[in-house]
Amino acid sequence: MPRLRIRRCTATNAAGTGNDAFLDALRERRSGLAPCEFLDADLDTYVGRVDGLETMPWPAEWAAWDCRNNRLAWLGLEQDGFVAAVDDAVKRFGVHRVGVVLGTSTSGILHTELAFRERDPQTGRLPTPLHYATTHELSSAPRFVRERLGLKGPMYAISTACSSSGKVFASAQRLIGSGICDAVVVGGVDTLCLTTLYGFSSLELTAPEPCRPGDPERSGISIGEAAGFALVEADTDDADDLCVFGVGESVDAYHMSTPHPDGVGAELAMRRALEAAEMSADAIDYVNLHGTASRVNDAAEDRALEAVFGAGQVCSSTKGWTGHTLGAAGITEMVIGALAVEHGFVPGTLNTRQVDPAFSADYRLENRAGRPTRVLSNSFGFGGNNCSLLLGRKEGVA
Amino acid sequence: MKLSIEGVGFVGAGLADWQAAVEALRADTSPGSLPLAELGRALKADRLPRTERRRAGKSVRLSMTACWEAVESAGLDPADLPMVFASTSGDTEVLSHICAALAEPERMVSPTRFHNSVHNAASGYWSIAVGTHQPATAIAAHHETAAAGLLEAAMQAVSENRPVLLVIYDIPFPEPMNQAEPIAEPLAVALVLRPASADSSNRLNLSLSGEHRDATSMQAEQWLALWEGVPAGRILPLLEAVARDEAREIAMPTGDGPTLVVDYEPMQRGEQA
Repeated sequence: MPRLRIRRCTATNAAGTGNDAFLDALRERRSGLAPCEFLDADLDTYVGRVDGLETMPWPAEWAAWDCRNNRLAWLGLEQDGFVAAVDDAVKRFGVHRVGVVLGTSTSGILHTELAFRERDPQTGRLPTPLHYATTHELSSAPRFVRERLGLKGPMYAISTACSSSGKVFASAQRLIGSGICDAVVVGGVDTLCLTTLYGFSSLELTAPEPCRPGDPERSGISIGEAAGFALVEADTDDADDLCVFGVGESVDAYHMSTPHPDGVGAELAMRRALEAAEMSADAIDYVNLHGTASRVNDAAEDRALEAVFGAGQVCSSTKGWTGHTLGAAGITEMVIGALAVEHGFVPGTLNTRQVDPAFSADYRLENRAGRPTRVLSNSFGFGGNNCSLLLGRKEGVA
Repeated sequence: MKLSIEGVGFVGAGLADWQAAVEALRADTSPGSLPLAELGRALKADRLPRTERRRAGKSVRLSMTACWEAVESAGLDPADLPMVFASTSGDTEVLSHICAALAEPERMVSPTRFHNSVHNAASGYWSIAVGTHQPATAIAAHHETAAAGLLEAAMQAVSENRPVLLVIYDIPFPEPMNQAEPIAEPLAVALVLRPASADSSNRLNLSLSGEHRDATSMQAEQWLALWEGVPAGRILPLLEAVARDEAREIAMPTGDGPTLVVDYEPMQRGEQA
């Protein structure tokens, strides 16, 4: 599989709109989590909400696409010169040679949730038109992004729950490796909705406080929303951009909503990422954990880390800044990895007071200056679906 | 990308398996119809343990039934196969129930219904049933889902040089969603794809053309409603060529974007030993 050169990447979430604001929040340890005041949700939990989406001006010609998910996609696309970078790729390769593959778990389901409140009391009919394809359907965001950017390459959504926007990098490798695309816009968009808030709450997985990954008293996740994008191309020898060296994918074959207690699938995903990158475990300076702060996930992931790296691997979870952004977690944490490498620091784990004494990894709580060159970023989801991305600088790589 | 079809699985409308579909496609007889309410009874071949069968949604059982047939006719161990599950809306029934429940004052979403709502629920149940740790990818692209699934599965097979299991499936939405997003019939088509070798039959050559082309239609007129009315039905012209043993070039346009061109060549008569 070809090594992917990251031409541009950008992240927007509760901790910051665009990379500069997000980097400031990471460095200054400012969390984006706040008590849940989303719509009329009556839940005792914290969420990572992006402010201002409801009041964002929305052009009339895009009315059929108007939903919270596409609003966040639009806001995210406008950051960090991303549109200009895609325009440049179009100039170099042509509109048909640039694809779009985005991850999401629930897309614009909020739009349909709200439509059900407006049903006709007599007939039970939904308000028309619903615009299902351009709001709720899983490919509404990649289709919207393809339209907004004027691209004509292949387009689809990957929806494997919380590993979705990690796996898009594997699809990009295939599209480029098969000669179908020269560049691919990858990433993910997922927004707050009642389905995930009440769904995770019914599983007793939402915390009544800001999430505390890896803490012995961790009590569950904080749900967040995010958009993130990366423009990737085949790597060339002279380029000094960051690269995705390898992607590892696996499934647990264990349970629909609980990870394998020994992290069997997580271990496989990390090993496959290393294998694909032709690197050994000691090449990894920092692991950005899936680290959701659920009791089971964090314990299973620590076991998987010990199996791959032995004890003492430097790692942290950044969910305390953003919340768990579900289908956008993979791209959000890939951007954190890129920022860590580019700006020379290892983020800690926000909100966590102490590390679970049962864990063997070197779970960092405080931020630390440093020069990580290679980062592994984990994203695991329901259905036992796992993905690990290996990214960083090319220094010292053959 | 040169591939061969090693196995086919089919459950759709009123037809229970690929052999029934072959006969109907050859004779141009109607595939029939199956109301969503009766779908559960038709899916006895999902091979889920009873407790799992009670939990799993109908889309899971439908896609798994097609997967078993394809994998067995290919004669391969399902645990060895990476999976691509392609569906526009996954479990439409579960999604409708959740949206309806969230509009009620109690907002009760059961844990099982919530985990069944994820788009990769079907690949999750399948992977547990066959005990595989191979990668599973769940894809959606609305009316382009069949083309996207075929493309992704073909790329996986060719780039890793190994067989891949692809299933393309949809079930109708219950009302009132069915009015907003009509899906005519339940349909699942599973294919085991393998990179072509010198002696392969049932060969596919996949390429992406930058220009928009009109979609290749069905020759069996009785099947036009299934082809047009179900997003997964966009794969049916290929199945028709396979059933009728005919070489055919099939255009699968993707919106105003590129067209996936599938060149199908069956086994030459007399070629088989």
